[in-house]
Amino acid sequence: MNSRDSGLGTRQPADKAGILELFDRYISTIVAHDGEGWMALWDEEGVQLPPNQPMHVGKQEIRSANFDFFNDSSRSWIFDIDTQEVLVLDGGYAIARGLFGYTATPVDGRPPLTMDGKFMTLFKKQPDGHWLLYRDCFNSNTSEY
Amino acid sequence: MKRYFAVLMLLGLVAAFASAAGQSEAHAKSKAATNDAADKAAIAALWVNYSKYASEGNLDAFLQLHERDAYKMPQNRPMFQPWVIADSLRAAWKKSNQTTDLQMSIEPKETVILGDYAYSMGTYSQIFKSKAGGPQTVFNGKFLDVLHKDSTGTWRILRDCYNSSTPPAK
Repeated sequence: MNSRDSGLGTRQPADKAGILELFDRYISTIVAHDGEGWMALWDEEGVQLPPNQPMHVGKQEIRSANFDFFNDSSRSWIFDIDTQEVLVLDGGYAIARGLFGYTATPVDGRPPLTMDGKFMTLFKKQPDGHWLLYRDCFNSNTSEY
Repeated sequence: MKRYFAVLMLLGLVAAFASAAGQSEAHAKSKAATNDAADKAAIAALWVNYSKYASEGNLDAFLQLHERDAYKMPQNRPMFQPWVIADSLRAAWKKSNQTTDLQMSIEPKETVILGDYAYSMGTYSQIFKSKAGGPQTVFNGKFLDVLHKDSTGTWRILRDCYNSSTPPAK
């Protein structure tokens, strides 16, 4: 499943493709239980701002909080990202805003874990021109999470 | 001898241009740093006002801190545009002001200026106390914001994502 761009942004993006491609890899690594691949999407100085937890500062803290969850093959994933806006900023930064949703179904028959949420992500362009996750804030759209 | 003086003059001119260019570059860097500091100070002041207006229940002043096409992205609710739903916000704030005292504080931990845009990240706390009495409740959260500087030099919030830093109460 690929991420998609609803194109609702009021400011025209100049470098959308790299951002959307990163989101595609964000999804594909989760679906493939590829924790290392998912970690490779992060800048060394990345900060994750997840709901109901303190912020995770730096790649090591992000790994501690996420790696086992995304590397675990005991659940199958359906993950979707709807990017509503990409804004490329000065200095090699870009911001994206949108919606996401997932269903993580345990293979042993336990009830699935679902989330309907939104995100705002800041990306940092690397010296070789590709983008990495730099700051990532997200939360649920419902009170169920 | 004439050629010698010509070379000396040329070297002098090159040195003068290089010096001027160096001074110009240093001046530009200094000016950028000054602007950067002024912009960061303006955004820090914006966060002080944000806390103040929220604590006072002053929605009109609060809204003025946001761009007209701003989005707010709260936890456990869909994102919304505060100017678009200003009337319903006004009714909700009025009701809340009648029943609850709020004390809000914001601690920006990182603000980076990117031309006419900036991002700011940090933590905040909200202390809620019922006017009817009883224990206060404390909410600790964090935020990631994008801000924009308009043609008058005023910084306003463009995108505002925030969430809780602690697990929900059972």
